[in-house]
Amino acid sequence: MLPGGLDICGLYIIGPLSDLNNFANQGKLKGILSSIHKISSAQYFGTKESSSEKLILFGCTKSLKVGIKSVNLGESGSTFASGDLKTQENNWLQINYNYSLSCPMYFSSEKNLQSLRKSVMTYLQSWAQSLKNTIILIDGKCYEESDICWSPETNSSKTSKRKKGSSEISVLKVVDAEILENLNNNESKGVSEIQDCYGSVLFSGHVAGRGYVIDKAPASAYFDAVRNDLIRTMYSRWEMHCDSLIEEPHGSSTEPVLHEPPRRLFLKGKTSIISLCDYLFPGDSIKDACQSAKELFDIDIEEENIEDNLENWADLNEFRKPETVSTFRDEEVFEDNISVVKRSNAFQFFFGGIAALLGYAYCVL
Amino acid sequence: MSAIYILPQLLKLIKTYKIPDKNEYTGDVYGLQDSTGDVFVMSAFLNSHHLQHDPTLLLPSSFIKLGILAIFAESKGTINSALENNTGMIAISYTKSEDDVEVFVKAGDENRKKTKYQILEDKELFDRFIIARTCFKHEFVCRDKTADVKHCVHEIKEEILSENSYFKMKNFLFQNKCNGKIVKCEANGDVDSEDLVSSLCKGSKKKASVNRFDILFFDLFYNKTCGYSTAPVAQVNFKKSKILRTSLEGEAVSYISKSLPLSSLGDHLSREVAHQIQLSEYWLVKQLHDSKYLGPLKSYPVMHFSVGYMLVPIYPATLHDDTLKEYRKLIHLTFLLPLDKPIIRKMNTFLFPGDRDTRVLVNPHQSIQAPISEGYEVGTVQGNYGYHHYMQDKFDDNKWGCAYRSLQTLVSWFRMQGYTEEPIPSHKRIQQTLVDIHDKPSSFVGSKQWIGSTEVGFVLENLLGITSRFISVSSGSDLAMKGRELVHHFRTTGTPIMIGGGVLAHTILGVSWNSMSGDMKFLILDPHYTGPEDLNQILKHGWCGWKGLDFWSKNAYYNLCLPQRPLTL
Repeated sequence: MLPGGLDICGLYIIGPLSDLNNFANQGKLKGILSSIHKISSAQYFGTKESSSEKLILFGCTKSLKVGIKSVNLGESGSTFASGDLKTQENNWLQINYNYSLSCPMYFSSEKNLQSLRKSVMTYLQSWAQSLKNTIILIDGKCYEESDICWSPETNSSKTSKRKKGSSEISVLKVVDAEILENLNNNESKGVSEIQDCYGSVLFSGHVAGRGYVIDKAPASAYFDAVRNDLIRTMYSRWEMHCDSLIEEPHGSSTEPVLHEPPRRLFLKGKTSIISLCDYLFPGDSIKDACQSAKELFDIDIEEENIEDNLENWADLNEFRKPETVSTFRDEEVFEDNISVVKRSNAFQFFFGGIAALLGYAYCVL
Repeated sequence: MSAIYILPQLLKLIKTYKIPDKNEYTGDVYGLQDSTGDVFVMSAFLNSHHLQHDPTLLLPSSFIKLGILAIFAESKGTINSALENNTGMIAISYTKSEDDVEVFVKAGDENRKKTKYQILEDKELFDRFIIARTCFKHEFVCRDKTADVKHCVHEIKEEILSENSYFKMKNFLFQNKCNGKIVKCEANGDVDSEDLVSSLCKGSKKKASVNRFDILFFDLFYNKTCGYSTAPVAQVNFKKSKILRTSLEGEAVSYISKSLPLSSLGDHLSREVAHQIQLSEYWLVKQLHDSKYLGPLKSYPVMHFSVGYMLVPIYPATLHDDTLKEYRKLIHLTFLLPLDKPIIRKMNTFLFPGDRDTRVLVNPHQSIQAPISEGYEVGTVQGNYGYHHYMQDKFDDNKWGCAYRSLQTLVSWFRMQGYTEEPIPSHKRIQQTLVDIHDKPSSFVGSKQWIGSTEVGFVLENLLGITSRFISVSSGSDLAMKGRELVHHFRTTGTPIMIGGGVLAHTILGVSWNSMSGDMKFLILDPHYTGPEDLNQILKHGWCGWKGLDFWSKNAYYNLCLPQRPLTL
């Protein structure tokens, strides 16, 4: 649910400060933070969190004071240190991008048929690796990693104003990113063979993506925000989709099947200029997204603050026409009998778990 | 039309084309035209070819069709009807019996008017054009059906020709179909189009003085951003089938006019890449039908000295040259190339700066002016060779290895001209070869004993299958009597010569001979040089340069080894 550029930076706790200063409790909290950090860093194909320093934001129920403590998980034996809470003027910058998917994958082994989830994940992992060689243009310009992309003169016209009632609360700087795939990728292997193919998966469609950075951050932070967002959203969709299925597709089915992972939308609270993302399955409505946000974050989202037009459902009729299938054209494959997979409601539990976890982060932000 | 330039090598190819049976052959001429309107005739091919693909796919796509070529054995035959049917700008006619090349152009009411042409000098070409090289890799995956292969190739071509193609050169990025925008973006400060032009041209002028093409290198990128908003879906199909999976390591080579607006650069480059993708279709279909052609595909840009322009064939990288001989022969026949020398083998691949083995200088003599004066006949080495000398490869052969090094230079010539893929032999391998043929005892291996011209000939024969001719003179001054023979050798065979006499061995790269006075000069490559690969130092101190007859000792007996070219393609 976090767009690119945002990581889980810690936990918030409400309780007596003395409990937090308790050595045993600190050990437990450090354990929780380590687990979150480890999962976040390892799960999404190595899109590492940018910092190993984690925070505890606490509200003391006795003194009614709010404070912050930090711990560096990268240093063994590090302990919680008190920090200062400061507020600063908004300097967030929003990066919008759109990525066209055309990733055909072919199963060259019968083993691939055993788990579609795993096979696709393996494929997505190598796809994620290849993204390292991309060029990312920011507002149509190419930057070195150490360059500073934002300048008020060149980007001043691109701002997004948000209003609360009649008064403007903030101005968000917005840039567009374009992802250029390197077609001289040195990692590609020299192959040539006629293979038995046991099946194929063709990803198509478009990912609407978003990242946030501090405007004066070096270009490398912009690039990471875009790449991480793209990788994480693809990973999450496929994971959520597979969790939602009644049974995992396997090689015994010979009929072509269209899988529709959930589509992405972005939602904004009344007081934040940063969007969260959510995913809707076919049949869900944006009311469901509002409800989820209320239940999980206690945020009231107005429907007008939901951007659900960045990704639209694919027209299934498109996939019934053989000529629309690109590199794996076969008249036999996409006849009228293409079916769409059925799913269970199990995904909701998964979704709920993730959302609860991320809720902490959003509040810290 | 301002002026017509014809590549001298092309004129020679036309004139030396052996007309097999018919009296008349027609074909197309291709070349370049820049913004001045000047026409540069670069290539020609005959229509009566049997190539199974469009021959123009082997040419840079920047070559446009200029008109027609008609070759006649004896009389002009049906030249008029050939000219009438010509829709191009020019027509070139050659009558073998008269050894006469004529050029016709459209002029007013007169359909064809004979016109003058100029020989295209290297300098003119280098001053007017840049070579752009775009490297890319692609993996073709499709069902094992011809129609699927063609569909797959078509789709990739469409992608490449779309506005999503980008070409990156250092900090500059050029977009295809950018509608007048000169560059999509720039890095490291504000670089406008004028800066770009001047920075490109500045480099050009600097390099033009060393008498070669300016070369720009590009990487291909594909923009994955688009304006659609359909959420991702996955089409899953468990139907069993067979697929062809083949990779292409592509190089697209383009001639870019220096007057070309940079806004068109992306278009040029993307057309060039699409050209290579289209050519790969020929091989993919072949691979479907015959597994012996399976192998990752690779582009092999070649620019042989006897051709003078770039051809870019694709071959399966793992296939041996012998397997490709029939295909190569068809290309030779189609493009009027001689059948007695390798021109488009893999080993003929053009060495771009950066691809070269920097441990060895290539053609250090190139920037030395030949002593051309009245009455002198000059012949120099043809093609490329590497300068091998003492102390290279971290191997100390000072004072004993000069003939070995000269032999290495000879082998490098055969490698670079495509005759062999044998690596440059080390001293040990040379010695072992001589032991193996019982010329030397086994104790010879690992020794520091000298070898002479005869041994050089033995090794060439046994390692590369190259025969040699030998010339002996009893005194250095007697070499003057061999002037005609040596000039003839360089003009016809064109291989470097190893010469040994006394305690020294050298490589002769050329001769200049006056038949009246008997005076003679020799272009010498000296293997006794022990310094680094510094061209300036080598030329300044005469390690490569023209020497007079007095360079040779009057008291020494000299043996020359003249390697012969096998007559093969």
